[in-house]
Amino acid sequence: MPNVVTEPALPAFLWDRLTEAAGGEEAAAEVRALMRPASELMRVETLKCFKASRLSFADMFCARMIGNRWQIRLVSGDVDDDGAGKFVYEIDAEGHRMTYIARAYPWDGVEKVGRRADGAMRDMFGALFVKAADAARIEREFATFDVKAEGDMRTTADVIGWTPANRSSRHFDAVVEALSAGRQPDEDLGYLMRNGGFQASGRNGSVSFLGIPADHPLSHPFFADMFAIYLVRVFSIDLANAVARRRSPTAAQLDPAIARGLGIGNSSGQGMCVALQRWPHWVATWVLVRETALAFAKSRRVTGQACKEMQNAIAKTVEIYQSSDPQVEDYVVSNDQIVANLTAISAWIEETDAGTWAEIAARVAAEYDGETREQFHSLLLDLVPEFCDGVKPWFHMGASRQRSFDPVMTVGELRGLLRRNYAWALETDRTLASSHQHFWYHSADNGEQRRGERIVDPHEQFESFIDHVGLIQRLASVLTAYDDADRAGDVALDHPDLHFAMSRVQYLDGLPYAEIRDSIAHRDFLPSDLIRFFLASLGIRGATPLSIRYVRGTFFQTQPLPGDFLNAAPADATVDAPEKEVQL
Amino acid sequence: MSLTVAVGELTRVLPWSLRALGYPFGTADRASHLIALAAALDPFVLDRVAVTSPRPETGMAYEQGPEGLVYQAAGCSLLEVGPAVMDYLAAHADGAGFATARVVGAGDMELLSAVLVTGANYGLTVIALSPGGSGWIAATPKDGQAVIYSGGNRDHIVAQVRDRIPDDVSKLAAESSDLVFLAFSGSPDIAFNSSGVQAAQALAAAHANGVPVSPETLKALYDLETITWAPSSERSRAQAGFVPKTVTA
Repeated sequence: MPNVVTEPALPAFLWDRLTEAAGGEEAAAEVRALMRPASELMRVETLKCFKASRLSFADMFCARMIGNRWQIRLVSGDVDDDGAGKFVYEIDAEGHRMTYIARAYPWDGVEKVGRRADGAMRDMFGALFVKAADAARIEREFATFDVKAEGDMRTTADVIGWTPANRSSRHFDAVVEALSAGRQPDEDLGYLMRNGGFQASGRNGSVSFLGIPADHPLSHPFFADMFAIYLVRVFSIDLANAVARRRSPTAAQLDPAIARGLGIGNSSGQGMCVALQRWPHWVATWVLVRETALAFAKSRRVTGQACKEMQNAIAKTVEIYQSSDPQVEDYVVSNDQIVANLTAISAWIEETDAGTWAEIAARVAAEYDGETREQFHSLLLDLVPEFCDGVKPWFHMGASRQRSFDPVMTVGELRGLLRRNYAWALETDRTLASSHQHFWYHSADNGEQRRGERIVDPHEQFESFIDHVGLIQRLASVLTAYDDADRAGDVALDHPDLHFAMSRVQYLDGLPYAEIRDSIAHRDFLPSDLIRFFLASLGIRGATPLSIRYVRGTFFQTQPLPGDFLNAAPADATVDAPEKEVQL
Repeated sequence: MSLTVAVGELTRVLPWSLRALGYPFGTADRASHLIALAAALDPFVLDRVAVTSPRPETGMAYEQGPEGLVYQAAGCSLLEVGPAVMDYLAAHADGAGFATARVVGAGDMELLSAVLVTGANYGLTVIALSPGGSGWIAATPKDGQAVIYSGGNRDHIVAQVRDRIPDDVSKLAAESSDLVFLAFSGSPDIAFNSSGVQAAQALAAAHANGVPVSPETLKALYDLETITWAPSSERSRAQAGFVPKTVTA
């Protein structure tokens, strides 16, 4: 079967932005040619190297929150001697008022990382409301938190989601002790609390994502998630200050300069791999926007000013790598190595005679590892901020694509889609069990996602969908029993379960970068590789695997505090403007 | 405070609940969206789904004859049979302008409205003649959105389409005690004589407000889901991959 190398056209919205920025269709086509083919980009080996950038969700969200000067006010927040307390915040964001509440529980001495298996046993629960909530409604939600029993805690559609989180006992106690003694903490602590997994999008009865009003600032993909984590960060600082005040009337309050260096810890597990397989158009959207902007950046001329900007960006990034403590570097290029590589690249740039950034990027790719390459790529995006702002709306537009099925399509046409888009999957050799050795399953420990081995471990019949290669091969195999003129609807009648496969093939057709082109079920696949890709897309910097199944990192470290927003520059009014959305 | 379940929650939990009842992944995943829509149209549907029977392992059969598709469901739920029949009707109404199907012995008839919306979203006007009664339900595309109508006079609705369908189908439609689907390409001029329900509006409202549900029904749906959870064990906990000793924070 011949490999088809033709890449799909860009969606009209992105093509138009590219044509405008490049100065015509011919120039845009030259930029398009700089985009890497899916056969290279959509491999786990490449995706795992992606680094956070200005086009990550946390960065885009912060730019919007800060640029539009959102107001986050602590209305009330008292704690008892044991550290338990209730906090209420009022938020004004782009004409929308929201309430956030947080319930802190007495410290039980149990360090919790934030796994789903922890259930309701968290150090705090918070709720972010769609609108402002009155006192009675707030008390009802606090009462729900105090049930502290997974399955019995329910909310309603006026809540966007819950923010369970846990203290980092060492960090939190160190800060409180220092403040209580009237001084600032000595250490660079990183964070006070760890994210316990935002429970939203319908979980526990919260509003469905599509139920958030379209004009609401959190109706953008992952913005509610990012804001929720940011609010936990704000609360963690307020809680530490409140506990210190309770302990001592002469307690110091955390210096904003130090508080700014505190983020929210995060550990993510294997469930992220399932999410990426379940929502391939999300992946396609994230990769497409980044690669389009990257190609545009590569096409720009190398100027003295741009070189200085790149060197400054490298210097800041080196600082981040040097200040982070990865603890484990078994599965990644070490921070020291990346720092050395970036430093060398900065020196090249000092003396470069390259015409375009594509030449420098090519040299980086040729001489260094994938992680250094993708870190450099992320920094290249900072050279074209206006273009990044111009293409950002596609994150919303691309993610709103719906899986759909065309029963009228002939089997011949369906086969054509498989040949065009899935040659890589059809050619995968499945004769060895190792090619699909693993399966993902939910465990009785609160449904936590885990990875087992076929035959050896139970419940394979209830595996989570992960094996897209197997799905495509089965579809292709079944289709051999049909004539070209038969319809997809006939196949669905005979095999209702193949609706999922056929609709996947149909709705992803024409999307550049639609599928991850490796077997996730393969014996040698490391879940941490795709967890890192997901976390980079969300905006975590310096994510490092604790094991092949768990990746840790920190959100929002060094980002501004709410009090900083008042002096922010106005936001670009074109960002995420709804009128730019198109019907997909 | 009345209990509600979110649409997003239904489409997340129901695929597992239905798999516990024996439905394959692809079927269960699709059916979760069908049930969520049906619940948006009528929350009572969830009470039925919570006690629906396991998928029968044998007995289902179908054949295509002069009177269209005849589907012996043998007790299989409309959550599987319904969408598959809509796929068939869309595939066969294309070109011919009309297709029909007769379904015998399907369960969970409360899902019928949502099933018809599947057809309308394919650009079909689909009329379902209720089994064993005189009622009918129809869905038709209007301005790109599915609109649902219903009525109690089967003769009235059949009379309006009689000249568009073969005589034997017309006779079947008038006399059959089975569930009969009449599918037409596009939006033929049919006077439904009832106020229509916009499926997309109902779904949007359910997204925004949730769907009312009883605690017993919600618990039953979640209990089904937990059947698909593997028992915990030392080996299983190790497969979570968390390594506590490396967390020093």
